[in-house]
Amino acid sequence: MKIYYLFLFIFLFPLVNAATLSMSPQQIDFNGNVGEKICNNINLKTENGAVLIGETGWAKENYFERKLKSHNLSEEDLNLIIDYPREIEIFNNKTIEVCVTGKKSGNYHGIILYRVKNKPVRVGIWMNVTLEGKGFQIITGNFLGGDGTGVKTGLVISPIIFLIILGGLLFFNRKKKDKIQ
Amino acid sequence: MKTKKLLGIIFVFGIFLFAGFVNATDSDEMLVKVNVLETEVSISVPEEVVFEDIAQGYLSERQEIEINNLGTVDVDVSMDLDESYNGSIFQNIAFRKVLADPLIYIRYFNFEILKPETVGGERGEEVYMYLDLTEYEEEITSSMFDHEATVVFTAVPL
Repeated sequence: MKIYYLFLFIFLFPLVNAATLSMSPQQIDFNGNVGEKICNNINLKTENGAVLIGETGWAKENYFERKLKSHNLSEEDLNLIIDYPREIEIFNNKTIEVCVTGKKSGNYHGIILYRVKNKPVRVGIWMNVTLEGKGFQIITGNFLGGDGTGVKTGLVISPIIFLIILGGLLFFNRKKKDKIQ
Repeated sequence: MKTKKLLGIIFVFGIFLFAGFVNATDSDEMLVKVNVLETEVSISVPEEVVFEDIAQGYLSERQEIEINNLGTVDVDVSMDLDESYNGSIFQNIAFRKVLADPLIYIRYFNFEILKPETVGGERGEEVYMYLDLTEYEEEITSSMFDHEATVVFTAVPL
C-alpha cells in the first residue's frame, strides 16, 4: 500500500511545485482616433484559482521591437489612458477587456503583463496602438484641455471659436467696405 | 429455407449498399474540418529552490531549473527579484545555460524557449542557477536562517 502512496506523491509532486499562467492572443492591436476609447479582449488562464496582478509597460513612440527592457515608460508618459483590471481573481480562465484612449496621434508599442500573486510566474502580451488625429475639434480639444476632458471641452467650445472667427471676418469685411466708400 | 437464405443475403447486401450511401456520395468534394486555436503565451516554472548552506566568498552548488513553454509561440524568458525584496544576498543569483558559459547575474539573464512541437504539448528548457557570493563585499555579521526571496520569471512572445 505504501508503494502506491509513493507513486502518487511522485506524480503529484511536479503539479504542486509548478506555477503556470497563460495569456492569449500574443498581440492585440488598437487602431482608432485620438480621444476614442478602443477596446480588445484578452484571455487569462491558470491551472487553479488565483489572484492576478496586472501592469503595463511602454516603449518610446515609434519603437516596435519586442524587447521587454525597452518598455520602461508608463502610460502617463505617452498621454495614454489604459483601462484594465489591475487585480483580478480568476478560476481556471477568464476573458477581460483592455481599453486604450489616447490624447495624441501616433504609433505606440506596449506590453500588458499579469503575474500570479505570490507566485514566481508572469506572462505578457504585446500591444500595438495606432491613433490618428480627427480634425479641428480634436486639435482644439487637446489644445484647450490637454487631458481627457479637453476633447469634450473642445466639442463645446469650438462652435464659440467658430463664431468669434466669423465675427472677426464680418468685422474686417465691414471695415474694408467702409474704406472703399 | 432457400427463401430465408436469399432474404438474408439481400439484407446483408442492402446494409453494405446503404452504408456506402452514407459514407461516400457521388460528389467530387470532401468536407474538411479543423479547430484553429488562437495563439497563446504560457509557461510553467518551479515554485521553490533551496540552496545548501553558504557563506561569503563561496559559490553555491548548481541547481537545475526547468521552465516549460506550454503555449503556441516562441517566448523570451527573463528573471527578476520580486520588488518586495530589499536585501542584497539574492542580488547575486546567477544563471547559465551551458556549463562552460560564464555566470550571468539575474538582472541581465534571459533565454528563449521555442514553441512545443505539437499544439497542447510542452517544451522544456533547463538553466543552471547559482548563488554566487564569491565577490560579495558586505560583511555578514550574523547568520541568516531561511533567508528567502521570490524570483519572478517573465515570459513574453518573441
